[in-house]
Amino acid sequence: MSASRLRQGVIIFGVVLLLTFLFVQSRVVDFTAHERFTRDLRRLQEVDTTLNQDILKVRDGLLTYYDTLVTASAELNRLYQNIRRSIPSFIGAQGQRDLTRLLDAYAEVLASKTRELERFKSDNAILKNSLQYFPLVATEVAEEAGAHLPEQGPVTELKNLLRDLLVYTLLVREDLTLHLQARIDSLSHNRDAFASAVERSRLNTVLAHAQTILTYAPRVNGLIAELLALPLAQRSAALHTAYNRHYERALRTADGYRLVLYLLSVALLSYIAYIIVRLRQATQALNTANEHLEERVRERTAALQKTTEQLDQRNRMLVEQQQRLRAELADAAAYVTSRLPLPLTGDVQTAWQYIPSEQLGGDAFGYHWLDEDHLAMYLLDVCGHGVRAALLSISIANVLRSQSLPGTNFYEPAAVLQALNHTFPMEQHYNMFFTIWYGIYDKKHRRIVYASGGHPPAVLLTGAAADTVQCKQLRTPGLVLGCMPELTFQQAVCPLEADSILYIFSDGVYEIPKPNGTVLTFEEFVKILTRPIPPKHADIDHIVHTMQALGDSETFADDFSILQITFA
Amino acid sequence: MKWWYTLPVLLFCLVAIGLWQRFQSTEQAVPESVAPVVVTLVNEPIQAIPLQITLDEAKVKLGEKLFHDPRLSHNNSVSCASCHNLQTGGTDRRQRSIGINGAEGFVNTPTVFNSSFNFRQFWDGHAETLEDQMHGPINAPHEMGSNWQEVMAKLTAAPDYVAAFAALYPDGIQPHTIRDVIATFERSLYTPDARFDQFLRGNSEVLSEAEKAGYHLFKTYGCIRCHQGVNIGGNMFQTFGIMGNYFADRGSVTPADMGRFNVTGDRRDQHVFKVPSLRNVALTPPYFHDGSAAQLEDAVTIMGTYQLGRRLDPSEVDLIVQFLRTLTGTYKGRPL
Repeated sequence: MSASRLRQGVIIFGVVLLLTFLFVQSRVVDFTAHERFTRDLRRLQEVDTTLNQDILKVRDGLLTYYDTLVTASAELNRLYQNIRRSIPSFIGAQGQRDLTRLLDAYAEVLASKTRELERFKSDNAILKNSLQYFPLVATEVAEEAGAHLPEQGPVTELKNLLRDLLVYTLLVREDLTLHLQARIDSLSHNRDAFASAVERSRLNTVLAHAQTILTYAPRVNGLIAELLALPLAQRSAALHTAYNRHYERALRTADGYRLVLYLLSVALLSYIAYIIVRLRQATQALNTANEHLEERVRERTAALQKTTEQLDQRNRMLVEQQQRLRAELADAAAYVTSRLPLPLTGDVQTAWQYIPSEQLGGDAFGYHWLDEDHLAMYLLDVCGHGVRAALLSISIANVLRSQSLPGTNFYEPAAVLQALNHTFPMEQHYNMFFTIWYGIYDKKHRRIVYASGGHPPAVLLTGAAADTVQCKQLRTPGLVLGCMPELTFQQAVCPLEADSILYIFSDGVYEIPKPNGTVLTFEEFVKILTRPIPPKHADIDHIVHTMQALGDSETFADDFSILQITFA
Repeated sequence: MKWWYTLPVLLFCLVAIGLWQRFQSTEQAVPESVAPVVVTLVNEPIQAIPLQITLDEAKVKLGEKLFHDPRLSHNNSVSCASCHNLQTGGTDRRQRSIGINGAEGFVNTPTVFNSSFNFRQFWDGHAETLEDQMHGPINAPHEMGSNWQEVMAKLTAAPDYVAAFAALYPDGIQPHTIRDVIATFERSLYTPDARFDQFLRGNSEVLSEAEKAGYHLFKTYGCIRCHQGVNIGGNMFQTFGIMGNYFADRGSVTPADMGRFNVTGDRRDQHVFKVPSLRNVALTPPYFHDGSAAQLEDAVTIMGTYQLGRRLDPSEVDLIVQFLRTLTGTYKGRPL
């Protein structure tokens, strides 16, 4: 994992942790606990009030049993225990201390109240008992005594005590206490006055109850005053106030955390929204770019297709043109071939082989009887190959065949060459020049008159047997034709013996590049012509095959034309 | 502009979660109500016992079993019911109960019936609740002579208890769960529908004239000042011997005779006792903390003498006793 990835993870984890912390802190105020706590606090005050009311009811005889006091007291203690146990945890340490301190103070007062309440219940029971019983027993005793004693004196005193005690308790005349105590003491001292009439113990009981009333009435009233004065309500109010203060503080703190949480959340949301916007923009840009790209690709494709179509079309045209040209060339070649002479038979036999290096070659040859005794033979080679060479060579050949050089004796080879040189200057013929070998077979004199310009010599083989064959090269010192108009040519004569074979050929026949890089020389070619003793009807194809074998190729670099004339 | 929708959706989710949680918390905030024992109030110092008190029946059943189980005592000889025999008014009717190894107690055993209505437990009120009360007999060497660890160990060894407690409490057998179970059972030991309660509920015919006269005397002679409320006592302390020195007359004062003084150390609490309940009083002789009064009549007479300062006439005693006999209630629908 890369360092930035790790950092990103840590940041996300931190943010989540922070959010969680803030969320928990913002929700720290437990409203359930708060409600339970405040409910108990309120209830504490209510129950205290009810208890105070019930105490007063008990004093006034409106309530004749203590169950409600007991219930209220128990409820106060239970609520106090509850409150003590369930101070909400969101109250801070200071608050906990404050509340605990106030609860301690409350507990102190509550303990006093419980204690005083028990005292009140007991004392009130005694007082109420005596208050009810004293009039009864005092009246009984007074009546009993009255039967035996005079009306005045102790009996009256007893009745007065009864009356005063009732007034005392009914009106809460505490100022009468001393007066009543004096009466009780007086009666107590005069107990003997009743001796004859009433049992001493009964009188004692009467006095005891009177004393009880006198003692317990202020005591019970004091207890009530004390009970009601106990600052239980104030203590619980103080508790409530303190709690509310700390509760509000906790709320404020939680609100602070909540605010921070909201702010952080909003910031986070904004950031997310920003990221989404950025993402959308990027996507849109990408889409746009994509659309443009597609459009461009479409355009380019269309252009390419168009170009391809054009190319195809052009190609087709070219092919058509080429085909047409080839056809035309073929036609031309056919024409050239058609102009080549048919083999002669009889005394003079001919054979030839013509293989142009391209469809059309620059070589041309022919032979025709000028009269019964003279046979013209020629072979020319226009420099270069192809159509233009072929056109010139065919033109020259046609001129020679049709003997259409005005004022020229076609029996004189030098004159013919001179006329040709004059007629076909290279300036007028596309800078093309040519070589030629031209000879006349004179049947009557049995000789060959010949001339050549820049052409390889013709080879004349004489002799029937292989070992007796004689080879003559028929050459004249002439230059190529078409270059210099004023050139003159010489002609030579060669006598012809029986069984002679004349080979006339172009240089393309022997200038064969061998596989070793050297080129076959003329002398080597002559040897090839000479060495295998040619049969009577020499197979000219044999020469072609030999040359093909030497060049290691079916085709030839130059035009290949060779003319074989056999003289009987 | 699709992302615009995500913001409100997120906010809505936040608000929804917040509201949901708040809603949840207010639901939980409904105060769990402690069903108070509703006493039908009548304009008399004595209140009738409710006819029906709802309790967890499973706990009651288990508590009843424990209540009768002698394994709660050290030598497996004494159960709660040994002294608080439900067949004999919730007491053993002995002056002093016999604990383990024949040890004798210090005070008379009060009845277990209606003890839940008492504001404190024990004669000197040193236990605030039934649960607290149990510490006393379990640990006292002359009663059960055991302790909670021992009790817990014994109960844990009993698979039926383990299963029963496990079904009721997540923490199973614990001292506090044992106390809770037994206390719940004791709260079921209320005895409603005494003839006097029927009278309180408006059936004036149910009491004879003599019984009514007895009730009248009961009130006239101030007995009602202490023996009031639903339990006819049991809700306050009072000095034994207001109009005479009972203990001097009886002699041989024991520490137990000092009563609440033993708890508070307050001089004013000498000979102060919890006023006992008079419910089913006819069934629970002998009487007083010292079990000195064998007969109800004796008890009434002594009370007259020392609390009122009046030597009650036997005919008056008889009327009052007749009234007291109307306080015998029913348990599980049958008269005690």
